[in-house]
Amino acid sequence: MAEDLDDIYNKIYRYCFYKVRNSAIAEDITQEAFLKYFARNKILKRGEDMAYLYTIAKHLCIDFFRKRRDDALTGDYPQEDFCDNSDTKIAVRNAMERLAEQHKEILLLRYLSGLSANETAEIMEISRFKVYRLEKAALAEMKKYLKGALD
Amino acid sequence: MKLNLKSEIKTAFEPPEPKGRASFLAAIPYPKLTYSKFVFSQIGYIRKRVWFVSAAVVFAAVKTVCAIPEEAKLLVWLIAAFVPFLAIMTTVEISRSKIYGMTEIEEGCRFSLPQVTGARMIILGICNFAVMITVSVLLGNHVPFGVARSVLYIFTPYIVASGISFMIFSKVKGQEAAYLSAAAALVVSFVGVMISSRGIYEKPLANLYIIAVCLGGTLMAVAQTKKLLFGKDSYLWN
Repeated sequence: MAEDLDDIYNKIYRYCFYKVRNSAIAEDITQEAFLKYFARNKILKRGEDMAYLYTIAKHLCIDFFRKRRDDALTGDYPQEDFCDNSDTKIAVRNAMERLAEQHKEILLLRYLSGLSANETAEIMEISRFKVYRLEKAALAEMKKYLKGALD
Repeated sequence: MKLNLKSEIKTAFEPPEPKGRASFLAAIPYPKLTYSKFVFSQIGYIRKRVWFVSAAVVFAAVKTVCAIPEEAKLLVWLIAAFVPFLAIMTTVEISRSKIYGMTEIEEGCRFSLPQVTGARMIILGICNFAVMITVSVLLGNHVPFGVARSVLYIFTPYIVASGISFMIFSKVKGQEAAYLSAAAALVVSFVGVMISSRGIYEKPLANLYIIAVCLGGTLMAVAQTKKLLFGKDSYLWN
């Protein structure tokens, strides 16, 4: 079944925004990911296709930071905040920031993007069982950090 | 404080609204299936037997007109007795999802079940209408009562059988609906044969009654179609 493009665009954009924290840059990367994907494929389905699109977006985000690091002239860029700034949401975001990189990526793909364990496994190049294991560990760690912050 | 962590994670990272989404997606070379293309794509999913039966009806009319034009009147009654079965074949074809319990899956697809049903109704409705008009025009020129009355005599049992079978399919589930519809077609066909064999068509005011029945059948078919395509029932699961 072909996915709704609007929906996929939003998910990829959300993923990129989380990485770069700037809406214009996130949107540029999202659009570039789509163009790269459609240069090789005609339609977009769930499963492997979706994992491929996320992998392109992920690599584009990495490229973006690499270019910034290599080119000292570009300097800093303005970072934007997320929409909801209630205490709970800020606490959740702070807890997420404290997680290990792999745990962060797992929660990002599984909950923010709503991807299946298989799709997440393909993007992260790990087994499905490892996805479950990491997800469980990441949630436990999040709970631990949030317990102190919200009590 | 008790948190639903999964939903909190989902909502905590809501980014600002993307600005260029609509214009980008409109320009992207993605194969967007239009409704007309979708309707044409449905032709391939209609079983061959439906086309075969329609073709057979037209072939019988052409053969009769060419070989034995004096028997055209008999063929009008025969086709009038047969069209209820054509109507049932159409209804069964339209309601295949219901018969095979596939409603839930089809409602979750890119095009919903009412859209699929609507597309098939358009295709089969046009096809059957074309068949009936062709047959009526072919035979109507060789019968004493003419083309207009031939259309009426052939169209009335078809529309009545369609209305009844749509009603059955909206009330009964599964294979039973198909059996009941077949029984209804048999009754409509039998009544038609009885009326034609007793020469009731030729009696004064008979045509007015037939027009009234035809209008009643049309209203029933339209109401049931509306219910099938736009009714709340068509979106409910189970």
